[in-house]
Amino acid sequence: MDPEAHILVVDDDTQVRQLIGRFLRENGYRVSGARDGREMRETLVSVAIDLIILDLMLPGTSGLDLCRELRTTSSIPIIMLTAKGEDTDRIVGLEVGADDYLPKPFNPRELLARIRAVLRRAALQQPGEPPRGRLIAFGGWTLDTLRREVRSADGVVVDLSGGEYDVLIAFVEHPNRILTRDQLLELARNRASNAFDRSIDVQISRIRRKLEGDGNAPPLIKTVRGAGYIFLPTVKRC
Amino acid sequence: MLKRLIPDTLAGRTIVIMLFGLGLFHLWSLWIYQLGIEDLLGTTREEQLAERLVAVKRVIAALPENEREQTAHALSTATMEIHWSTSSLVNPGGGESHRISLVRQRLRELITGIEDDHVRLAFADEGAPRERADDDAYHHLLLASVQLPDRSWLNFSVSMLRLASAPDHSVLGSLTAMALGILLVSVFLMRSVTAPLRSLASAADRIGIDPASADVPQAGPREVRLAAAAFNRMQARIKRLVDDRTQTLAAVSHDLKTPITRLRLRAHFVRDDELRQTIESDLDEMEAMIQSTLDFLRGDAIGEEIKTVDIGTIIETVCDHLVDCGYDVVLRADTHAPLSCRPLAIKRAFSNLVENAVKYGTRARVALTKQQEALTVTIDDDGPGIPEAELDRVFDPFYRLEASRSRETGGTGLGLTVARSTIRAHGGDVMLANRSGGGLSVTVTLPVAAQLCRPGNTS
Repeated sequence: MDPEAHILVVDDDTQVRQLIGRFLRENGYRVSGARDGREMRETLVSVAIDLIILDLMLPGTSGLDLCRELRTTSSIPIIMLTAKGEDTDRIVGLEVGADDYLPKPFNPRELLARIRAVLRRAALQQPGEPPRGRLIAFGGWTLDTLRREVRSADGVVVDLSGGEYDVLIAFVEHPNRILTRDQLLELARNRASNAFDRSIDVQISRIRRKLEGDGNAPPLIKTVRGAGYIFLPTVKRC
Repeated sequence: MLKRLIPDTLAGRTIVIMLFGLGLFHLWSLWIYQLGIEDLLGTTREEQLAERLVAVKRVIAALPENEREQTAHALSTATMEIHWSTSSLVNPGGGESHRISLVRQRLRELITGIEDDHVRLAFADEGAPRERADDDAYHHLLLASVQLPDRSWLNFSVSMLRLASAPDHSVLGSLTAMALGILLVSVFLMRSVTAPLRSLASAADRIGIDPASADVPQAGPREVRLAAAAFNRMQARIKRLVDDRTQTLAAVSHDLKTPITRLRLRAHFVRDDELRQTIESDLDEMEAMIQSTLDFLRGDAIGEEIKTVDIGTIIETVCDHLVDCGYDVVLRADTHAPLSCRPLAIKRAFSNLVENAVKYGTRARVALTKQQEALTVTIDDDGPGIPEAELDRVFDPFYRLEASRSRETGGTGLGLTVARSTIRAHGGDVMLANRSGGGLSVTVTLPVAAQLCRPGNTS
């Protein structure tokens, strides 16, 4: 799909950098390495880079500062790596403009899936398109794309698994039209959630149970027999 | 027996000591007072006697002999009998007792013109027959004979009894009132004086339970302030010690993440599929251990934001995940219940509990019920349960039951520890009980309106 994408790995641990490089090359990518912010800037000047894998803890300028700095000039996709694994770090990372976030130690296959998803989303997004709003409102709920969470009108957070969130956001981004299981699977894969091994039907029934409750609330997702599903509420980005 | 009479509290003991001292002081001053009164009364009595002697002598001496006895008798009073006679009531000679010489001395000071030979003094018991000598009335009956110029005698018998020595009720009453007043005031004062001590004790009790327990306020008397200050310093030292170790362990656990990342990447290049999978499952286990150690060390002290979350959906996510992993989990919860909590910590706690149920108890039956002020989550399994003696020990860090140690269940022995400390930090508790039909039942209670402990200052 993106056979010749060029990835820059920024990590101060030489072995990690080389191992990620070798792994990605085996999977068909071109890879450059940089051990800090200075080397990263030098590489970016001379080589056209499609995606940056950026470690949060770097000597000199931190990964967060580098990410913030990059975002002022370019929209190049960034995946953050960190050994901290705190939820707050993830949010801060995404707030400064990273496209995805992966805690160390990660499974190499997981990294590959994230890279693919981020590259695919970047390709779908038209150049010059304004960045999308962080909050999405639908049927009395508010979805925060940065925190990956859904709140009710009175501010109660509904806990969703990664897979459920990915399916929900696929619906939210394509409301009021029939989506087949395959389409949903494809859309959700673009988010590359880590535990996506359940069938779409199961994910949808779980979303319904969590969001539609005991039937007092209006239904959100309607089953279209033989075709797929349709997301009913009107969606408003803000 | 005596021990039971001594009050248990410091305030009680102080009051008893105070009352005891005060009582002694009062008895002593009462005694002094009584002595003073007696002295004063005694002097007056002797003055009266002297005056009488002189006056009666003068009157009787002026009368003709046939009228003397009658007049003398008429001059008698309740405490003084007077008779006229040709002979003396008191025998002359014989050594005078000490008591008599004291009386004589006083009389001599008071009366001039009565010579010693003309006045004979004795106490009735001194001249009385032996068998009556102990009689109290005789002991206090002073006999005085005064010789008239014509050598006849005037005989006085004077009752020298002490004045009524019955207890003075007004004195006793005021003493009691004062003691009661002091008791009341000191109960009140001592309670307020010892209040800082009690707060010191309750602060000491909180150590280790509430990690964010505040310092003891340094108030009250100086000794208590000193104790509170020393206590606070001790608490700070303990906290520093614990923090140092925690940080060391956290740093080690954390630093292990980089080599594990490398190992994960290296494992990917292993061509032998079976070997690679074994290495990866070892890495999974290592990672889980590090994660649970970090979870345990972190507790709830560090930074997770407090949110209002539908606890029902958290438990659904936890159970669904285990179902996806192939475990037998059934959730009975139609309840959507908002709870103000640290959601990741709470999710981890429930995840540990339900995971234990499916690992050691083959299947888990989870139920969520909502009462007025609390949520109850029960997790029942079909396992062997836990021996009664170990029901409480299983919460200790790194404590593992024999069955768990000998089986290939993985885990670190921190799951229950982390779960309970998280639930407790949210104001709830975790209870374990063996079900009568076999299997373990875990009951988690969470107050809906809990005051979450503020994160401790860990830096």
